[in-house]
Amino acid sequence: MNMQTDPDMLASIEGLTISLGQTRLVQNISFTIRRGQCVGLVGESGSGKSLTSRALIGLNEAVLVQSARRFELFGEDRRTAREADWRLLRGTRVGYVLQDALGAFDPLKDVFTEVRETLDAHRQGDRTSRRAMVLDALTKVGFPEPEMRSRQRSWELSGGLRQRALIASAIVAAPDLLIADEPTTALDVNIQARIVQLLAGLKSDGMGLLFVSHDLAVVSSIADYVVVMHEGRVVEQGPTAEVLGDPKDDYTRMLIAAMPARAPRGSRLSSVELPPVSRFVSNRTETSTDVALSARDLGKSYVYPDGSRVRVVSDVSFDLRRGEILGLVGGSGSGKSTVVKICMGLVDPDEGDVALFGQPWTRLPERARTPLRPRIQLISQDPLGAFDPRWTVRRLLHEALEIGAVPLRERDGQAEQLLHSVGLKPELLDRLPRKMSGGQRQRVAIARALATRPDVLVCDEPVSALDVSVQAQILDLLSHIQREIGLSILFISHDLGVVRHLCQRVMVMQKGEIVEQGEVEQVFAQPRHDYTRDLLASIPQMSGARADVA
Amino acid sequence: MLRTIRESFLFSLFLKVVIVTWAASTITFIVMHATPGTYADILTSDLSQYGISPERRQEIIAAYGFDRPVWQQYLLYVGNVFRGDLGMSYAQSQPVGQIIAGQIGPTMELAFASIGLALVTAVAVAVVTVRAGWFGQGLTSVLEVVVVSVPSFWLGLVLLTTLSFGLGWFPASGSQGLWSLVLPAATLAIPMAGTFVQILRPELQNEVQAPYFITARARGRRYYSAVLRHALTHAMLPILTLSASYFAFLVSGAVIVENLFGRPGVGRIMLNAVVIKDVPLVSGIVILSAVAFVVINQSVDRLILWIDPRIEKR
Amino acid sequence: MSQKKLLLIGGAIWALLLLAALWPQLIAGYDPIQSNPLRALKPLGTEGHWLGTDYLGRDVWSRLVHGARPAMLMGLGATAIALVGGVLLGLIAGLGGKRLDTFLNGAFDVLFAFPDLLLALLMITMLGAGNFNALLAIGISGIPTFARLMRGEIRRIRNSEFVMSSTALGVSRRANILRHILPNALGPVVVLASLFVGRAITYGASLSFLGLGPARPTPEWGLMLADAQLYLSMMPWLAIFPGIAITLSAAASVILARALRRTAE
Repeated sequence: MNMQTDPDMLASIEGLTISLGQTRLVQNISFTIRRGQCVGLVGESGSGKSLTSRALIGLNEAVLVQSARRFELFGEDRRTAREADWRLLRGTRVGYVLQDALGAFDPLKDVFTEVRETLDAHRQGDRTSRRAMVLDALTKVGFPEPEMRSRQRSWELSGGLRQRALIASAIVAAPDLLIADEPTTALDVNIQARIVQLLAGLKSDGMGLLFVSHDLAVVSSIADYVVVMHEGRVVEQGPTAEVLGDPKDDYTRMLIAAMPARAPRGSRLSSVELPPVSRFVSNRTETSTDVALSARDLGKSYVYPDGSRVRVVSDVSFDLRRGEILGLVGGSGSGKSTVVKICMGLVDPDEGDVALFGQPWTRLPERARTPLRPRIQLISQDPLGAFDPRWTVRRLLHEALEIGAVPLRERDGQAEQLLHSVGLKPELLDRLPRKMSGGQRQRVAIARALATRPDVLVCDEPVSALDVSVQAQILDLLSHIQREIGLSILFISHDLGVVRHLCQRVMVMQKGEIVEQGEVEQVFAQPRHDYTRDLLASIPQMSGARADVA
Repeated sequence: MLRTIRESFLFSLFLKVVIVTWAASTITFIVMHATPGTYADILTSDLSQYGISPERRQEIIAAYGFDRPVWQQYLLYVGNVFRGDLGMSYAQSQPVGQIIAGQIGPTMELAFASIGLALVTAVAVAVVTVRAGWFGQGLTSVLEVVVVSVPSFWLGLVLLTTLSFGLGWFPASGSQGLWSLVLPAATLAIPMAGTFVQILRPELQNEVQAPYFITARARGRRYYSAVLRHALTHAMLPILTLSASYFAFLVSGAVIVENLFGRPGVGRIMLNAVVIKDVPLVSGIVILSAVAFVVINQSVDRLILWIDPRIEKR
Repeated sequence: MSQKKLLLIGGAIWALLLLAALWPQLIAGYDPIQSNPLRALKPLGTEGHWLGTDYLGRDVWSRLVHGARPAMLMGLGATAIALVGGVLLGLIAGLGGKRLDTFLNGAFDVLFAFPDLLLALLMITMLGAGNFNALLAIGISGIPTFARLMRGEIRRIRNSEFVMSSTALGVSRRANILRHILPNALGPVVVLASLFVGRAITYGASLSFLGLGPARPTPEWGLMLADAQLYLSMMPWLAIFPGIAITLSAAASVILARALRRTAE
């Protein structure tokens, strides 16, 4: 026991290994966290970063076996700590902020009760002092009108406020160390920037921070020290500027290269092979118009059961030109998804209409619309939800080929070709999508969309559920396909980096309206609307990274 | 705001009760008239075998307007039901409403005792086994299957044989005191508790994986304290939602258990009425339990909404 | 006990029940109806009558075996009525127009408000006691449950993302219904049906226990239990065995339902 070594040393881990049976999920991890320091733990899904962070608060399930050469928190050896020992630490000395704030709050309790829980569990103070501490913590994180609004339940708050409240609940008992597991994922980019600012403030007040994230850019904006994890191992670690500025490991380099915000526009983000797809060029010839999809004055309101009306889309007009990729950017609740559904003819607009190659589209009755549907296809964020859960890839592709009027005997062959052109092996034909990885599923979704030889593709956040490296491959695939077949693509995303990389033109949507649209270069260089400016200023900058970006 | 909600709830409840009462009386009327035998029996056959004298028969025919056209009978019947008049029992010269009112007490006692017992048992079992290893879970999953499959009349017989005849712990019949309530309530509670556990345990197992549960523990809550304070409320919601089926189970169960244990109650007179074809009494019980169902179900929906207001937003 | 073992046991019970229902003579040595007062109320373990005899001297084992046929008839027959009626009504409500759906759904709600055993008792009051009437009553009283489930599933799947996605792909309404909506909606209905078999057997036995089912001397488990009531303190096994038979058949249907649910998931 070396109790009085260094009072600023909060956590000192050496050779941490976590295994499930014979499998080692986390292997030989070492790092230290000091007061006022932020350590970033970076990795994709399955890298073991969450397991590592949970080990620091003793919350990994009992079936997982942990071992370490050194595992010290606040100068005390915790290797043999039992549940009761851990419990005394939780909330009081180590705070924990979990991934999604919506899930991390008990939806049946109000925010005040939830923030107070640490004090209740440890029986700190009396009623009045607890109340004062809760309000204090809420004020500290910038939660407005804490007395009144903390009586709301978490799901009644906006995403940003909810995240603030969650942080307040983690720091209410003034812990020395704060673990934040993906605290900014799923937040809009401008909100994300403010949460990072808040955490940085706590750090400068002397709190130690373990910041877990898949997003290298966000981590670089706050962490002093970075640990890059891949499949349970540390591939590289060191001061942030060193690791990002001069990455030694191939995986780190790949992660940096895969970030669309950094790469030159239109360049390759990954190094996967891209097979030819020319077989699936649309065979329809049309010369009448250069506009693939044209939306005019779209408006849509939803009526809630209690009779209140919410206008989700108003006065939306745009043209998707033949052969271009048009980006549509906006935060959550901006009305993007409703625009997608209207363009796909799945929801009828209250006002205005959409024309497909100059012909009526949304105005048609469904019976007349169905035969035209092969021309315009959808790729959604969650391909698993978009597939019949009982169907194999083969059946899914067969159905799509049938829509594309491919005769029965040719379908098997074409299904294989489709898989080939999205970079999948034909063995996957007889698999169920739910038994595939997220990247594979999204490839199948693309293959299915191509099967009808469409002219227009609507992509609704197609990469936002994917890891950075997979995201890079899918983006490369999409732009490759677009160039090979000359598709017109409407690309919806909340990620400005992705849009900038892929699109020629961009529209920015806020509260159901398009507030700005134009050439990507122009909008990014000289944004005219305040909201666009806010979004652009919030894109995390890679501090200390090599300046090879234009 | 609150006031308008309460008003609208009472209003919608009233509307539903009216609709169900109308539908229930219509169905019983149709069944009464569409089925061959009974209606004609009353008019023509000798009912003395059921203890109904010829004079009483004439009274019945007059009271129900059996000598008038069907549509008049229908209006008369439905109108009477809405006025709270469920008719006169054939067998006992008493209004049906009065007979039921006299018997509802012991039946309610039985219902509340058994549902309370079932809930307490189920929550205890679910909470204790939520963290148990595969052995405990395997054992309880076998028990669950057995417990929900046991027919309640047989379970009652077994309890009677062992605890009452065999060991003499409980009285075999009657309704005197709390002691006589134990066996009948247990007979109904055991299968119900089995069903509750089947729903509760997987729900609870999901909830303890939920981020809010892990967060609660990260704030320093003890495992079981977090289960009771957070997870249990969530896991109980589906049980409340399904309360409709338990109501049906309790009513059916009352018929069986009351007869088996010789307890007074609505279930006992129901069976009697079915056997002697006392149509007004059977119809009255059916109508009343349909109305009770609607009231209970609507109130439970309201309760769920109060516990979890998110539902309204969906 | 693992799920696999449980399933094996469930399958074995089903096989045994079907065998007993189809060819009872194969496993039962005695006539289940012919009485023999000289051999009445023999205890367990009597030679030739290992499970003893009842108050009329009939072999308990043989009566148990022959009781499988009325039980299976009740289980499968009532389920068939409830399933066919419920699925048809649910289909009409789920796929029909808005107004038809509102009307039918209201009707299901109202019908659902009647506890099913009471509905069955009401029907028996009118039709009179008897095996077929009990079957009819139990089957019909199950229709609202199936109809509600079927309608709910159809509507849920109709509004699901994957059906929307196949509409966007260009799949016609007809094909969507036949290929995607129906097959997915039927899964839970099949699970309910297998549960309902056990429930119908139990209800059927309850009705005959209460004297509203088949008449004596039919070898029927509920009736056997009713007869055994008189000898509870002396010869409790007379009541134990029919109860075990009912429990086992209900358990077999619960196990089957679980297995079906698992494969559906």
